[in-house]
Amino acid sequence: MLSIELLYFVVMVGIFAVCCFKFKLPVGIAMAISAISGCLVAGFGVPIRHLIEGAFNYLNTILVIATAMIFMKVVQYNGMMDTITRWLIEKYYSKPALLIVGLSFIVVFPGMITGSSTAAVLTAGVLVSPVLIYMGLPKEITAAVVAMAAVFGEAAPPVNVNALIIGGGIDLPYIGFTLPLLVLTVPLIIATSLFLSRKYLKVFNFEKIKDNLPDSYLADFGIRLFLPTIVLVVFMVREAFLPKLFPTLGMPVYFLLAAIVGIFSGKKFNFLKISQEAVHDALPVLGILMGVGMFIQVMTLTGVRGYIVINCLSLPPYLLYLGIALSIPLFGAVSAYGSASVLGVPFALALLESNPVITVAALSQLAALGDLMPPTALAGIFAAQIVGEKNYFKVLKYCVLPAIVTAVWSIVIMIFANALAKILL
Amino acid sequence: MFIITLTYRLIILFFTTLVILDMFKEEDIWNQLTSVFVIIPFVLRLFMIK
Amino acid sequence: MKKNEKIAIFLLIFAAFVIVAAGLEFVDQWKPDLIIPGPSVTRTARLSDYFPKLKGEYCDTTIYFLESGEPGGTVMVLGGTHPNEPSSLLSAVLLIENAVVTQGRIIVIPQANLSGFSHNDPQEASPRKIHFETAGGGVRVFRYGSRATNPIHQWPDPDIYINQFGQSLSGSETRNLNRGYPGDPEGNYTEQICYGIMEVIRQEASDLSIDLHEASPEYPVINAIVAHERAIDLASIAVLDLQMEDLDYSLEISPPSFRGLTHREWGDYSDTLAILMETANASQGRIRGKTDEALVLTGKDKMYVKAAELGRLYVPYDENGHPIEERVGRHLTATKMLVENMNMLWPEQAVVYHGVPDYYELMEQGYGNYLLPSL
Repeated sequence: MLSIELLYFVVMVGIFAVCCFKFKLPVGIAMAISAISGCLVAGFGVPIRHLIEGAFNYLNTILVIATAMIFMKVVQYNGMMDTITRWLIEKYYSKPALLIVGLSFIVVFPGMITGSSTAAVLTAGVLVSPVLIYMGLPKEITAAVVAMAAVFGEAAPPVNVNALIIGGGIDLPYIGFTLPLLVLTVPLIIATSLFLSRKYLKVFNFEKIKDNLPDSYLADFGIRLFLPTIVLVVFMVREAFLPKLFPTLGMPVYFLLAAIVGIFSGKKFNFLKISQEAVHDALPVLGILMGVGMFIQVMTLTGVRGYIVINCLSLPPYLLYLGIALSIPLFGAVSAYGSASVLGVPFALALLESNPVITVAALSQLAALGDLMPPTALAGIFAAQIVGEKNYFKVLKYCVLPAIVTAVWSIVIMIFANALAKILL
Repeated sequence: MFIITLTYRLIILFFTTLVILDMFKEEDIWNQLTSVFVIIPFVLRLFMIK
Repeated sequence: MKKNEKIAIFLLIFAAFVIVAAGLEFVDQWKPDLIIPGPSVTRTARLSDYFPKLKGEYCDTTIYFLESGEPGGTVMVLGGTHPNEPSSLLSAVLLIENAVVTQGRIIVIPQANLSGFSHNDPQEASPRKIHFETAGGGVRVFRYGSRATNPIHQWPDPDIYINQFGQSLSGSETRNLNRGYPGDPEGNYTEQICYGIMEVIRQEASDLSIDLHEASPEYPVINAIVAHERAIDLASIAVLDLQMEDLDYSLEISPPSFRGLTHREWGDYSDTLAILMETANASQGRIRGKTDEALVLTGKDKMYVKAAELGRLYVPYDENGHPIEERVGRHLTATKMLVENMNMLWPEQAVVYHGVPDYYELMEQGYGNYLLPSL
């Protein structure tokens, strides 16, 4: 369907690409410039209120990211990460397949209880990536294993924010999601981690790397070393399983409290200094989220958002599932949660004849894949960052095939939603 | 609820300060401008305007 | 001073400028709307008169009493549960400014979630205000708000909102007035507003309580009446009567498992007959095109026309859109039918009123024509 909104969209994407790739501007700035251009061509001038209002959508998200970054620095500096790495390798080096699958589930866990792949990467991802690297995985593949596990963690039960967003849009209570989400995620977690690490599953020569392993500080500090993580897990589990016990404080507070506990848990470090370091590292991503907020607000204002939705819904029935499989992860380029809301809800409404719980569960998995889609690609960016890889596209390259398999798996489950509902619900 | 809100405002104050400090150390003007993007909503929420 | 420090200072001044420019618009959205008491308004009260804890809070909304002085029943009409569904506020305003009550009384709360009127949802790009020309040539302005309570009044949201019945909802639903009933005097800000409104229903012994809404055209429950099981007979007669007027409505019984909503909890936690009504509002839908005041007022939208052709909608949609007159007209005519049928079923609690335009009068004369002129 040709219409003026297509022109606005082309202008916005074109200006974004030019700013980003030709002038090498930071992604957040490029998004903001492209949002402003969209307003100008659509005759809205420079609506400051709209631009700032759009950015507000991610205020809570950036608080989570910023505090999680501080937490991550704390467990790096207090010695806990080195200790865990050494222990895991000493203990499990003879069973590499088991170790890799186990490490993947460790990454999945914080995603399961926060519904955020970013939280998974920045907490458990930080802990397991050195182990994977010591096992011989190249850092790009290590980051890919972490990113994929984090994405599955975002979709895995009990907390799946994308499913909550889509469910909220079609008034579907969040009940009965656990089994379908387990079916959607668990086989993929195992398959993906083994597939990505397939070349490195041989029992490695422990004696050779023994001397290069990081130090263990267990003897110096004992169990105290793990306090930041223990505190964080207790808070998160309490929030997920006993929500009514006392008022919820939210992820940013949990991360900060756990980080503060870290000051007294192991090696000494300057809390203020590492906070500054954390904020410095997080700023490009925080900027992207602000830019994305402006971009979506302008897409809505100018009608581009509606244009995209209606074109997705216009697909003939035999292409509808293909459209879903492509458009929801692609829209993740802007934001995964945004994709759940903007595309997930209309698609869920279009598929009301299928069992809604299974359908929404599958849609939420596709939305989670959006966290691998550049330029935002939060799971990819942070996974690259924690292994010290500057170019996150190198990481995403390894995620392409697992992501396609994930999309196909989600669509198959969606197609057989009614049959599966009889078994699973 | 009041205490939790206050805690969050303090967290925002903490990060606003860190971001402003980072701006003065940052050499790249575009990265400095990125910090501005983050400061604007922080300040508006800190003062409970939006 | 180093060059990068000078740039930092310059950029901070720029940030201050943007903060002030945006901040002025955000603060302007806090200013109250003008609602002029009409011929039957005998007094007003505040929500805090029923739940004192809300005194001094922004959400302490105004309650209008339209009393005949003749014995009869009590009907309560609630607008503005979701301030991004404008026909609900606008219908309540026409009742306040026009109704002449001759038996019983009508209680109107036009802005149930007043806090929601004081901001707009991020990424929805809503217009802030809508304007109407009155008969005398003046202009009346109303705010277009957000679906939920303003975060400056209730923040932060939990990751997951567990409602009072232990059901999990998306975290932002913690600020949705129509998920927090029957309310909790010790609960969050929004649950306290819910409690206040429940108290109005209970203390004033409202016989029939109507919650006005709008829905996006792709949402299945639209142009609909949702009734609590005790109100289903009344609602079904009203739907038949509305059909005689060429106004099609679907009738739904309040689902027992869907908790926290007016049509469920008002009926369960008081003696009132609880009804919720929906009209079609493109400006809150996900398929809509350009978002501006014209879309709110006319409902004309080419994306929705296309979606209707594709069979994706639950209301007919063509180039004429669904103007605000149609949506307010449906609410006011349906309210009248419900009240008249209540009078027929329970004559001892009759409420009689006139002077409020119906669907056809509104479509002919326009909405602004029935607003009182501002002085």
